[in-house]
Amino acid sequence: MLSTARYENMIVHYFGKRGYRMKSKKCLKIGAAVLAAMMALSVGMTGCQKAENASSTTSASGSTASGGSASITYKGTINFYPQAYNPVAPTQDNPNPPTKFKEVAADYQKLHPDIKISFVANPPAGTDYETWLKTKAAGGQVPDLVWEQAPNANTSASGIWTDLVPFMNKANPYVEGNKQWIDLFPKAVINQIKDVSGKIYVIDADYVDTLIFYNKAMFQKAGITETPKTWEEMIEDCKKLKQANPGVAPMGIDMSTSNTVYSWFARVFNSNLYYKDIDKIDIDGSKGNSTLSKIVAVKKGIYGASDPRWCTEWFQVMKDFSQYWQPGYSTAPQGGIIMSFVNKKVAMYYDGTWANKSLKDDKAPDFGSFPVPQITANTCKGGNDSINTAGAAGGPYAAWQYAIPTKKADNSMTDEKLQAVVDFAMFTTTPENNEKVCNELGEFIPTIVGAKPPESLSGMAEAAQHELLALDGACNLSMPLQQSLTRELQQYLLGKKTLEQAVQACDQVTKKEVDQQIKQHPDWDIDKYLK
Amino acid sequence: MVSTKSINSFRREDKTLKSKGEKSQPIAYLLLLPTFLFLIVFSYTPAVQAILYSFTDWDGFNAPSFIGFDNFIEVFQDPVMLQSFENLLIWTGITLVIGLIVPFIGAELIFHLKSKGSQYWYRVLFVIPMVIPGMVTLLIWGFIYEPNIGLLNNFLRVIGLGHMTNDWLSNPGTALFSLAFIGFPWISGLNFLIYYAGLQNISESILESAMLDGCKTLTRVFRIDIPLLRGQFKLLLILGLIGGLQNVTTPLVLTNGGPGYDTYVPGLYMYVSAFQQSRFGYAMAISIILFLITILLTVINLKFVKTDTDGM
Repeated sequence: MLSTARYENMIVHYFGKRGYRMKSKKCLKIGAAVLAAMMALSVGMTGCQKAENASSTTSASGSTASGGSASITYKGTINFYPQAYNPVAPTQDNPNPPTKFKEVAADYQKLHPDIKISFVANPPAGTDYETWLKTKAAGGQVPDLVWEQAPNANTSASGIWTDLVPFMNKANPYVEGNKQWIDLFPKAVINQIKDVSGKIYVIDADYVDTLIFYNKAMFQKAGITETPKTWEEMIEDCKKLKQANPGVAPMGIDMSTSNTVYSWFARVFNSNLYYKDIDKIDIDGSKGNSTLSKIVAVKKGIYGASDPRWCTEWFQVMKDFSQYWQPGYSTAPQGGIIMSFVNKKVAMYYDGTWANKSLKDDKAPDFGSFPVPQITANTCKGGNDSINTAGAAGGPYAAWQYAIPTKKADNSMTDEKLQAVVDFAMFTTTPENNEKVCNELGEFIPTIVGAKPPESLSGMAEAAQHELLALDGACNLSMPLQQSLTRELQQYLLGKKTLEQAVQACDQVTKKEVDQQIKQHPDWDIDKYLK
Repeated sequence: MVSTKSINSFRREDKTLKSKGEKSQPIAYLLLLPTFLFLIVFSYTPAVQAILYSFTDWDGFNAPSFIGFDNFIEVFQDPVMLQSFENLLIWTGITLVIGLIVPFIGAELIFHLKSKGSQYWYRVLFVIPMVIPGMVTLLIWGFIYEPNIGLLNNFLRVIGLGHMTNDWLSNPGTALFSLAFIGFPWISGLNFLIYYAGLQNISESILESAMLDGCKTLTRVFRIDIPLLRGQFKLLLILGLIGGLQNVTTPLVLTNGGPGYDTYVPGLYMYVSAFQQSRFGYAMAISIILFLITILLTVINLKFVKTDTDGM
């Protein structure tokens, strides 16, 4: 690289030859030096990043997974963001926040007086959360234990998250008789959250489902005495609701790119339509839920425009259904779709089980809920009467998904601290603590073996113990992919694209995403599954 | 026009002053140094880095890998990018026309009020909205456009135009135009102040002469005011182009580029590529292309739009 002096002389000579004479040659020299310094700074910062990569890669691979309470020597603070379980101060929007994690943290601190558990204030929600997390990772400031969706953790830039498998194979010292921490998690959950190369980045200990919430008074006014059991019954109910409640949309759907409703419908329909070919998609025992299964299914063309089950069939169902949705469904409504329901602008709406608490806090009108009705042979071509896939839009993708950043993503992480963070995570995943924290919130069920859910959600507990049938057509590979697919569906629903154009566009963006993911993760060996 | 001879005499005079023992003040350089350091670190270095990294595949976290012009080739082949530019063209065109004409009309009307007191108060009233944070303005407009409870649709119903209600931000036919029309009646703000200052700079003798010669209002506007305000038009054109090309916040907050890609603009795509798709190299390639377009349009503007001070 040129020295600064030689570089500035080049600049002076260059401008001098072209007739630029300044009062003081010194000014030109200073300007040249500044430009040279900027270039050096830019290249230097790139070099530092490379050096940092090398050292942190070495450190990450060099850390040992000893775990266990006795070996904890760390003294300091562990920053923890537990998402919906965050024990924040009450606000107008959240008047009754949970508190149990604070108790769990206090109990842990009694055992380890030199460690303080500090809860991170709520960061942005929705798609902004991923932006926040990526920015934090780039700056080396990710909290020590932080919420992250397992599929997103699997497809994040490599090197952000710590592989937990070495720790999962150690005993949890806080659970009597436990030989391996991994034994506390249902096998079905582990199969779904591991990445293509078998790594586990997320401690996953709860389960969520989705429901359709309905206004009881509006249903009564429309003469609907029973909640619909099939998709066709639901469409009939929409017609009745439209007639009986003028000015009120029968169904509230937030099909904007700020929401994940596309993914919910994709799972409900794909699980039903592809059910008979599950063996072709499930290549690792995850019932097609793992990142590996999805990627291979795309590469093989099982998930693609050539198969009408993938998008073509259910997009048409959505087109027919959308006539009953509230106006402006492609833009996130102010306050969220939940407020449209609370303000009686929609007769029913689709949301997660977490909405239960929010609806009560917001003083929603008297409401009930029912699962997504059965897809039948009459709903669309290939519809399967024998399998109910209402639960497909749920899964172990709730608030208890905590990942530990590497040293590169968290500058304060050391080997000592890593042991402490893992130890704290083990402490939280005793059946008693898992049950205590989850059941207080009442929105998700605890899944640690031995933890019991509340009676009202016991139906979900059964589902959590089994492999979830939730074929999503690969839309959950990443949030940006899901947003792109949502946009294509929007354009079809709004008449901007034909069905074929929209499905072809979905095919292109999905293939592009898969190729991008494979490129970003050179440790993934996909080829052996494509032979 | 100042002649070369007189310029040279200034230089000689300046040299004379220096030779009389006037020393340069190193303390001045020292006081300017922190500002330049911040400028270099926070403005110029990121720009240089953007140029360097646009030739790499970088996820914002791991080390970048050099890929040559691949990002730039992909930009020109990306159908989303092409749609974004189309939207940008329409949006910038509308906002430029509105931004150049409407504040000028407002400035003219207020400048030619007979009472100085009225001039003052109208100026204040039109400038006060500038203190409102932009984000607040956007959220208010989001509420105005809301199809169920929004102000616009309710107003249309009240005045008997219920058939014209619309999903302003969700309808592909109206979404882009709805965003472009944010800021109605478009008078308050920087453009208005720049025009008003320009009008104040016009010599009173010119205006009085025009009045004595029987010059009508419109004739005065087209023959005197507009030619003398060409510098202001030029400046606002450049600023409008730059603002349009860098537009991210409005579509991000109100529509996230939707419905579909109908309000997607290159600035938003750059943001999404970097912070949601973790494709920083690609995002930087987009930013370089936008930068080059801005430079090109600015040069064209400077070269072809003459003002009365050009060439002096």
